[in-house]
Amino acid sequence: MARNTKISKKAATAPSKPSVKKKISPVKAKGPIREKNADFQEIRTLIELLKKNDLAVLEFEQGDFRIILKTPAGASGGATVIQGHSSPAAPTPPAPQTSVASIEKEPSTEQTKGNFKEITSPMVGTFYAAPSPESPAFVEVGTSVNAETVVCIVEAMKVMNEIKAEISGKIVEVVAESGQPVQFGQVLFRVS
Amino acid sequence: MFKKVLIANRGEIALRIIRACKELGVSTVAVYSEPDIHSLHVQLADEAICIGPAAGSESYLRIDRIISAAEIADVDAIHPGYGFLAENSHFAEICASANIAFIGPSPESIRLMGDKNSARECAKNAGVPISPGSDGIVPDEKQAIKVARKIGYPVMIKAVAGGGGRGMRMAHNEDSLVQGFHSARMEADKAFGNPDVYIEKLIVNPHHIEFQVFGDKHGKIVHLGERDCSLQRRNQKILEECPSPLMTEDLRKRMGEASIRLCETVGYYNAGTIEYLVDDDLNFYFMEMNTRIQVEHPVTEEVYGVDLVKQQIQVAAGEHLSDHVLNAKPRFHSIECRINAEDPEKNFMPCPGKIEAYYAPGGRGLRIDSHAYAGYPIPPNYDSMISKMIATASTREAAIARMSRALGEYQVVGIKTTIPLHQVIMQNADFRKGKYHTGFLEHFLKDGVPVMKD
Repeated sequence: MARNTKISKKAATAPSKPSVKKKISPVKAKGPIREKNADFQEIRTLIELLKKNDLAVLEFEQGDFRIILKTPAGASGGATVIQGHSSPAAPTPPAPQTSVASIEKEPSTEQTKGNFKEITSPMVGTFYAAPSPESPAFVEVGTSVNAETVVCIVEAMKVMNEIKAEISGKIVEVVAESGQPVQFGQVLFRVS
Repeated sequence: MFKKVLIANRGEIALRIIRACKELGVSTVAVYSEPDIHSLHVQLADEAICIGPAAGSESYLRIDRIISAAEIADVDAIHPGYGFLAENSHFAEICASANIAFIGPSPESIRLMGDKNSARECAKNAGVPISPGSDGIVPDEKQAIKVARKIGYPVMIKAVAGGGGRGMRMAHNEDSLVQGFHSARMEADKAFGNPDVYIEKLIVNPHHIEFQVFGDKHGKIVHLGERDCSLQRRNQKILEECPSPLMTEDLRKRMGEASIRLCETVGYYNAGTIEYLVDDDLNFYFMEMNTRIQVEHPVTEEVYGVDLVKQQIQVAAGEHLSDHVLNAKPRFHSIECRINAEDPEKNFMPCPGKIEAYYAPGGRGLRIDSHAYAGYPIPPNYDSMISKMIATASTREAAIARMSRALGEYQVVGIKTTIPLHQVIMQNADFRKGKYHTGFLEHFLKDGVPVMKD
């Protein structure tokens, strides 16, 4: 299948037997036999495992002890599924192979998305961070923006369209790459 | 041949076009609205670009975003499918100016034949019979009354920019004419942005018979026979068949020749369909021309042994009509049932929702053109057609038996569909005899509920 960028990478990174079909599979980590009571250190290790591997759901079973850990994304079922982001309200469109390279970074930053607002592209075109190749970027990490601040240009059909922030805050991340194509709804910046 | 094609459409036709492209070795780019991220055409295309939110006007009708997508994906051609921008001459022109091939006829053909009024003029000039009617647009109520008196009631008031059965009103007398004139104009203005209407004589219990035509850019034009689309509900086709049960060799020859003549007068190329109304005496009258591929193209493909969508792409790339299209002869009988996500027991109320379980029938002579799958959430924002079932067999009786068999197998769990309606139609004595017309379905749909006849 040509579209492997859309298949969730999350479950695949943890050691487990992935379950079937389209849902995110909980990772079953089988540890060595321990005492019956849950070890607090054990749970902290599991939490680290969850965070380090960018998992949505982690299920650990050992004898009588069983724990399921879910991140906000995993709990809401919003983890990446085979067709892309399952929440229609704020979709993370799948990355087409060549056109929109910056999309591939997004699944890894989904976990932090909850804390930040996003500036998304209102059109289809090419993203430019600066008004011209010689000029400095419109904004960078740390820049304060308000609704009227021009944050970038999206060029479509030879017309340079200035994109306004529409929200206020401080730029925490420049997500889109200058010179790369962007699609409707694609995240351009993250704002605190 | 093109290297990359963008499909400016969605649903089953987008899937159809992607399949044809893949078979021709052409890369595909899908454009989609946000809810369509789950759609099969997005999954199967090589690349996909989101072009807007759910509303068609903000996505599939956004010429600017579609052209931008075509540019960033660097496509050679755009296939518009049917509906949306398929018959938008402005879109075809913009494609041309952006150096992108439009897989369809020329912008002038679209403009000429897209306007129902000018299409009637072209038909008249090509010696194709047209139904008695107004000499062009009827500008006001007074003229409407005059025209109706001249041609005689009953009449049909039709929007010049209309399609899909909208912007039409019947009138049996002067009162209903005046009322219909104004409400048709209002509906047309809202639906198509153009309130202009014309009036033609209403043919009682007509048969809707359309001819498939195909031209290439080298001047060759052929017809590939007819489709009978008389089974309609509220002017929407629900079932089509090829050949028509009432066609004769002579009538097919005359209608076919008229169709080719019309295409030659306007220099038509690529796929097109000419729609006629035929009365019980087998007089035929030009109704309109659709300058695109049609929903029901599969029945022609099965009977004539051709791939019309592949041929569209090939013709757009400059190739001559292929030998097997030029030499195509009809064989077998094919019936298509359109399956909609509607509840036949609740007056065909649309029921979008998630398809929980899905099993599509198969077997000899059964073709399914559908974008449905288990787990697919049908969005509420677009038309309700989710599948086309095409049954082909050596005779009409065998095709009906095959379709009945397949309808019985089809499992679509989680939503309501019109499968039960088609099962009733297949059992209906008049349908089985081939005796039906455009008013037929309303007769046995009492309060919208199919009545089982033994």
